[in-house]
Amino acid sequence: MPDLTRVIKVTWRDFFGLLVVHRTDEERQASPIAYLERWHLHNELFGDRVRFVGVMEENQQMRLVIEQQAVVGIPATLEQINDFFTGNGWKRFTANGEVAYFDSERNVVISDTHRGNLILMDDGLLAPIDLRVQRLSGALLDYVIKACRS
Amino acid sequence: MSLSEQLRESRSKHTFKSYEDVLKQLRAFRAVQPVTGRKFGSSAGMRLKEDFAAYQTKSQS
Repeated sequence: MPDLTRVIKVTWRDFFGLLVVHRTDEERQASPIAYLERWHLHNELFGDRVRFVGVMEENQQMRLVIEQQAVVGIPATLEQINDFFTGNGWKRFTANGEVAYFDSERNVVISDTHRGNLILMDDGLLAPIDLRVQRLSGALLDYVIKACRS
Repeated sequence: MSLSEQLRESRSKHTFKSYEDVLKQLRAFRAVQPVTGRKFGSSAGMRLKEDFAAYQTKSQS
């Protein structure tokens, strides 16, 4: 019988996801450190227990491995997703042509909030499982604050 | 109770009872994934822990 409580996620080779927002002089692709920080923030914000498992090397390229608690539920609708975040104090804005949300208390932004990334549990709560999460400071923080006002 | 605490408690209650339920849910979520590929997501899909153990063994041999 397989372990039904945890799932394993492995990054693409030398690719660790995208940033929610980025400066014009930096790449949109996240660094390995940004990827790990993202999961740390994800645990803190969304009550998860994601654990870093390790690094795989394939063809001299790196893949990061994490382990995440499996959650039973169904895909939420886009309306439920929007209501969940705005109802919990997140401000909606647009970044790189995509919907994103800003937590002004923690200065954190999230995106990639599509239906495949949030599990609707039968108690009505949504469990985020694979969002982009990024803490902001400086010019990027100013930019997002302005974007939320417009 | 904070949202994070509520979610932690709820996540721990919503666990799979059977492998069939896992497969059913994976199919449901694959159907609503907007796109696949490294341009959009960071990971190459997910596997159950046991599947991954088999993958590790294979790749190390």
